[in-house]
Amino acid sequence: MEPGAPATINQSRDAPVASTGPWEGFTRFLGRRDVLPFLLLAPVLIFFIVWNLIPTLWLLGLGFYRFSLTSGRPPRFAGLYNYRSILNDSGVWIDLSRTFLFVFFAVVTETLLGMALGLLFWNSHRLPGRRIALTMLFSPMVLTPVAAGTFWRLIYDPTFGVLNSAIRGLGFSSVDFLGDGRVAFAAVLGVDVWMWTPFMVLMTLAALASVPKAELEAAEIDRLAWHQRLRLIVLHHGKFILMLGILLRTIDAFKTMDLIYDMTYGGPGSATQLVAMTLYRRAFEAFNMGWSSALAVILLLISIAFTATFIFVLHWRERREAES
Amino acid sequence: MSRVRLQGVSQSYRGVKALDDVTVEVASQRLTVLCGPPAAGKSVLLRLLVGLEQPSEGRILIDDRDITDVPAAQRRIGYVPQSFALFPHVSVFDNIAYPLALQHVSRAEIALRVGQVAEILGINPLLSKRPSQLSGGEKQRAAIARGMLKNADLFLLDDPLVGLDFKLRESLMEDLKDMRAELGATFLYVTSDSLEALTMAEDLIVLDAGHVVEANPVAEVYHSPRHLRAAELVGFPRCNVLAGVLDAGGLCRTGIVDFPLSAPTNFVGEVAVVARPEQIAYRADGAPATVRLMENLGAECVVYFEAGGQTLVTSVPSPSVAHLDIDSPFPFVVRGEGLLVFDRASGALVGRG
Repeated sequence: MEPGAPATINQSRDAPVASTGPWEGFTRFLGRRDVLPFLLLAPVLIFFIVWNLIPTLWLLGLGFYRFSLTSGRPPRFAGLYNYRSILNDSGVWIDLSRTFLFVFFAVVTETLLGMALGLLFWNSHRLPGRRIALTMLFSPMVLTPVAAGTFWRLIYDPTFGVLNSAIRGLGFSSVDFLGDGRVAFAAVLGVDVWMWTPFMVLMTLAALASVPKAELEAAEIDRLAWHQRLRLIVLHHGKFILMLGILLRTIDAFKTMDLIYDMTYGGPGSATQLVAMTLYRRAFEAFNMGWSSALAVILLLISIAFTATFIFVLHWRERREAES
Repeated sequence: MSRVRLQGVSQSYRGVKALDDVTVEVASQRLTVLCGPPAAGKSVLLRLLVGLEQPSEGRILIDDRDITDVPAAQRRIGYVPQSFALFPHVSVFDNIAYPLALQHVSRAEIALRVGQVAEILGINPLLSKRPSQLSGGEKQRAAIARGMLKNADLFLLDDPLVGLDFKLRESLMEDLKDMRAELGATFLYVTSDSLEALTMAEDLIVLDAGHVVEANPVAEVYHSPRHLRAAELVGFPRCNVLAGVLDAGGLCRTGIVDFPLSAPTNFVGEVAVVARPEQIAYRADGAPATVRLMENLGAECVVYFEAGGQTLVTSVPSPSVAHLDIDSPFPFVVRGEGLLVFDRASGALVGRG
């Protein structure tokens, strides 16, 4: 090139702009708009399929088979036999009724106590020892149910339990809390309330945090009574969180097994036999896997019904409010 | 009648004083505006008056009755909060009417009074709607209606027009003034907007960093402020503050204008000279300056210009500066008479030109 001549780019029109190796093609494929979302969702999808979908389908299928681990025979397709057997089993109906009773009393007591305690702790920021009190209040919730069950079994013990010691100290005779069929159900229910009331306190505090301060102040200035404030402002704003808490507790209480297993094993007799315990005993004591799977499917449907009712009520109220 | 007096009122939060030894009086049956910059303590003062908070120190009196320890519900004060505080699940009518319903006022009278206040505020068509169906301005008017409807002689309004568009603000300002006159009540109106304060006020209380710097009729605060901060905080466009020195002969010198005081004073030393925008004129034979920013408000134009290393502001008729642009020369004169001279250290008024 001559000195002083303008610079030119020595490139043919046909020359590639950049090299395209296999790695670059792969990364371009990953970046495609129709691929990337699935790629990002893949970990949770794989987890969901392996741990939720496959076991549920397996359970659903097994419910249509007569299959006992002790018989030594392979599973036999039996159609709706297991479901018919469950629906005709009065023992299951009694256990289910007892479970509903347990759920009702547990959730109502926990909700009322939780709301009362939550309201007490609300706006108590200046109270000395508030944090310690809250930590102590929440501690039952973080205990494993087996530890809590053992702990309370010892407290309830008729011979050396601290509760009976106090009862005797007051001049009354000992009560066999877990051995007496008349009180065992209430005793186990009490432990569930002790364990899970803090959860409802937590939900109540979360609900209260969503209440606008300005509305409460306006109500205070305008002399709204406390029950009107609770109904018109607090419950109105906090209802979604409270209902969510009630739903979660309902589903959880419906599945209660570990506490019963550790404290009474369903006894005395069948006084504390909840349906989850029935399921466990039929599956892992009688090894009747087909029948147990069918019962598990029914319990799953009941849990889904709880959730669907909650969502329906919530949307129905929202729709009604929007329409009015 | 509702004369409000605060005596040595202080309010602290975790050791930080939001209000410090505030002693001030709100005259009965007047529209008093409490103005000041953000975080001056205006809302705190209002919350103390309404009873939502208890002062750390001091007493609050209404018509010579000590109400410091009286609960909010028993103070009979109408209150319009900055946030609308409307209940979302009841209609606008019920939102406005419920304070009256709680006072066991008859249904017929409630309907009549809600109708009257809704008429004034132009929200009659909205009465059957829910707050979620209203715009910001409509919510604000509903909140004002609720506060105004209470059987009270004293009404506290915490920046009720903040965030509304200019037209609506203008019309609501007039409505509020009319309403006060009709009710014959005492209004204490809080705002951080200087223009709104000047438009609304009969009396003006200027609050700054928790202290009352001035409390006087609005014209007096504007034309003869007793404190430098009051002069700085009240006025639109803002006033010009020039650093200067006052000598023993009573002559005040700034880098821009030198002038004698109209009355003798013993003060000698560093001063701050306040020149309102209307005291600065654009004149061809004036001192040299350069335009830095122009805000055309229609009939008037606010001109920010640089002279002697300082940015000053004036307001002039728009046609007279239509030919000017940024960086254009802006010869100006400052009228010496009426300039306010303050002690630069304490902010107290020393004299005027």
